[in-house]
Amino acid sequence: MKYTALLALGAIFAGSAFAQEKIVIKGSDTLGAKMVPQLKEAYVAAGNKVDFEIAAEGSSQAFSSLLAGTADIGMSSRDAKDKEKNAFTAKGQTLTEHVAGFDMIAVVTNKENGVRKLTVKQIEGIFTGDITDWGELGGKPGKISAYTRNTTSGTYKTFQKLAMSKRDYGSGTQKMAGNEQIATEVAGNINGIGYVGLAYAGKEGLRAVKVDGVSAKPRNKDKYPLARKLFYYTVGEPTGESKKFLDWAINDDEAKKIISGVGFIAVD
Amino acid sequence: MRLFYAAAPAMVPTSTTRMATHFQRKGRKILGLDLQSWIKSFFGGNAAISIVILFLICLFLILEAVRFFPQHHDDLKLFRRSGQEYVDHLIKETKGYTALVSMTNQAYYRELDEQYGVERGISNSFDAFLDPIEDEGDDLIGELEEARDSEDAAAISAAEAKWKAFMAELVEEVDRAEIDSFGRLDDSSWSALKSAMLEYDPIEEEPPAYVIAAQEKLTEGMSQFEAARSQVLSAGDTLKRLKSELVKIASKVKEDAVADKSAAARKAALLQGAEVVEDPEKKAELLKNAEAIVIRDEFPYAERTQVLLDSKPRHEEAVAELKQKLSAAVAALPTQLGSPEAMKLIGQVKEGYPIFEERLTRHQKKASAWEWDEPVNFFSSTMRFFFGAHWVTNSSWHDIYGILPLLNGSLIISIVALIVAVPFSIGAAIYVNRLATSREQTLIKPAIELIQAIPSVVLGFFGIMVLGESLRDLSQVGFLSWIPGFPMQERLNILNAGLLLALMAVPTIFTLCEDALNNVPRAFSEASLALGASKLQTVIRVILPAAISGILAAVLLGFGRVIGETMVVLLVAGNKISLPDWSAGLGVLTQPTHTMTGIIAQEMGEVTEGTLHFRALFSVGLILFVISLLINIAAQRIIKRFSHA
Repeated sequence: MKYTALLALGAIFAGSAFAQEKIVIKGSDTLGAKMVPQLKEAYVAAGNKVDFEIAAEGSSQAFSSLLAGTADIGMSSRDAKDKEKNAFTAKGQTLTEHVAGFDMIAVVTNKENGVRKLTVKQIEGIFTGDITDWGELGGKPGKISAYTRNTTSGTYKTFQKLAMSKRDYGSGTQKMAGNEQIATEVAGNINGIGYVGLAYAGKEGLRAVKVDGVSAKPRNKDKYPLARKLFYYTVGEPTGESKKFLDWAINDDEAKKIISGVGFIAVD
Repeated sequence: MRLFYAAAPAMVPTSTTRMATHFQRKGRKILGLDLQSWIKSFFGGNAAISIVILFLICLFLILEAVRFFPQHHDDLKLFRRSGQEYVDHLIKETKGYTALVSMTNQAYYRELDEQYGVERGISNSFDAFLDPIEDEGDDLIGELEEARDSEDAAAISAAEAKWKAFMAELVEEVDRAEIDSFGRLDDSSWSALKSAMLEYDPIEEEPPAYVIAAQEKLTEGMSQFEAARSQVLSAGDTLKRLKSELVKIASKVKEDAVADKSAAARKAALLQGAEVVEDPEKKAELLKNAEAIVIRDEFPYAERTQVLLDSKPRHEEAVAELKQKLSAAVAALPTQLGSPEAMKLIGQVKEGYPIFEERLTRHQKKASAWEWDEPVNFFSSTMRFFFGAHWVTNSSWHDIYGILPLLNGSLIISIVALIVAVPFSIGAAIYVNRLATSREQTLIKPAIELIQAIPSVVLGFFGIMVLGESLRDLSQVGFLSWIPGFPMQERLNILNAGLLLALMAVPTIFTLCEDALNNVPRAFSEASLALGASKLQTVIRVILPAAISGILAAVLLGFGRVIGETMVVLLVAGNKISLPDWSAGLGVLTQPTHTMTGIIAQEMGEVTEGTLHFRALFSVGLILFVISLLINIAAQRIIKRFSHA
């Protein structure tokens, strides 16, 4: 529904001011939910006379729309599959990738808990229920309380993919309403562990563990195992208004502020 | 309007004049009805509308809920046909195995702590030192690296001196509890480690000799246990590998089978699109795409799952290998250990192994018996919903809808709430109704009834921020540790939710109890007092037995009130979907749980209409509805039966 509304809104804008050029952006929900609409607001507020149409129904939409020519910019939270690239090649086009930012999930434990580093394998064990005691991880013996986002959250799935080899969460995990609630529970429970967006990892009483020896800090975004790149895609090199917008959205300081404000990491 | 009014006096009603005449002096008629009939039909209409709406809600609920069962049956059929059922046995086999691995590991590390705590402390503390070094010395490390790259001797020694000074300051200033977080080091090893750290070279990243020595001692000292442990750890490798391989195959088969089902619809959509589109190029493309979709009557399960069938002998071998290796490894685990907890855990592993082996055999037999085309019993697929012990949704493998853990959670929380609320509310009702002065009455009654006015979300918030925190703090007081479940680890748990719901149930039970006490004829108490009974005797021996039906009904309705409560349990129950661990005895009450109301509120937002998950939630809703209905019927029955006795 909300996408239809967005589309309709886009259509109204297009109708009311068709003298302006329009940038159509389609694809990932991760980017399209908050980050890109906020970037758009700021971009327009900065005095750029351009219309936007944003639709976010999933990364696959980015490639199908670009291929069909119904979008200028595609948003994707994964890189293009070979099959998708081939489709462009077959049409004699090239798909150009622009890194929009990084999404990093921090695994947090209680500050009092001595365990400072975990491997991805261990994290998988903890959240699937294979590992049940901190003693197994080098810590003081104690039953692990694992807190997760609830099933509605996109991060729930992302974490499953990045850290748990897509296995199911164990039945002992507790589903919390959001980042803040996970942070609060872990901060109050010495045997707690959970995952939060990077912006929440600095909360009092929490420690973000090193994953595979890499700490969850913006500068480690290329090495950190629970990070993924977020992309913009264009057909060929972007031109005109699209180029102007992409340059701004990736490089401008104000854009970077917005990106970190919604919990992602901007490109250096 | 005027017209009707004007016409009305001409037809003065004769039949209705019998009824309440003073409303009707003018006797005007609107659309053939007088005012009184209009008012009557307005109220009657209101009643009728609410009944119709209630009926529609029930109908909608039942329709959505009932359609769950055939859909669930189809889902389980697909689960079997795609071979996921077969692979699921392998998953369960490895799950049992990992539980044994987990216990062995726990025992190993406990023993390690007991025997080589200091060495472990040294090794861990060294790792912990790296954090502040990385945080604070980042620039210096950069400088040092630059200096070494430049190969300028003066620059190198300057940078090294700076580094040494930094380290000297760091080891003095660092918080010992932060570094040696488990408190494993004694004073002498702590200062030894500190001086060793001065030698640490951040570019080489080689631990100091002191740390290396400790690490070596760690690995050598426990060699016998370590050997047995690594055997336990590797015993299941073959089975695990086979499992991951087959999981991928079965998932793909399922995915394709699901896609196949919608093939006809997709094709139709493309063809329809082609008719509408003007552009000939696009039209051709759509037609081409439609052409490419093959519609089959039946997905070729037999052909696709042949790989799985072929893997059966490999599976049997893998299980046999696991049994053989694991039994040897478990037998080799040392029983004489320094740490009593470790010995207990090893005992559990040794006792648990035969049980595991039995389960392994059972699963393996079931897996071997799997055939893709064996029909799925509708009755058993239905029972899986009512008696299934797992509720797994949004899974990448297979969703499971078993209501038992949710039902269990709802019931336990409600029972806790009632146990707390019933004595309070009955006591308060007796006091207010029989013993209090009228001043107290006017104070207490509204106060208790005011509790009802607190929005449940506010109560939930109170439960998270205040009650949960204070309960946990209280449970951590040393001399209370004899209470089962104390000290509690989770602040969001059954007890917390139960206490809050008790608070919500008190006004309901109190008000109804008070009514029941009021309904006891005055003659009863007067007669009792006249016979010389005291006030208290009258209450306990005469009034209470006379009001018992109303009190029972009040308790039941209180139960109905709490089992349907959503917001508080969603916020405070801890949302852990599993059956409680009864081995903890009464300590179960400090575990988190999930409820039927909570799951609906939590998951309804994400589901697409008409999907299996959507209907599963409706089925849960229907069960809640039936429970409430039964409670209400029971309450009415009780009132009827006892009131005539």
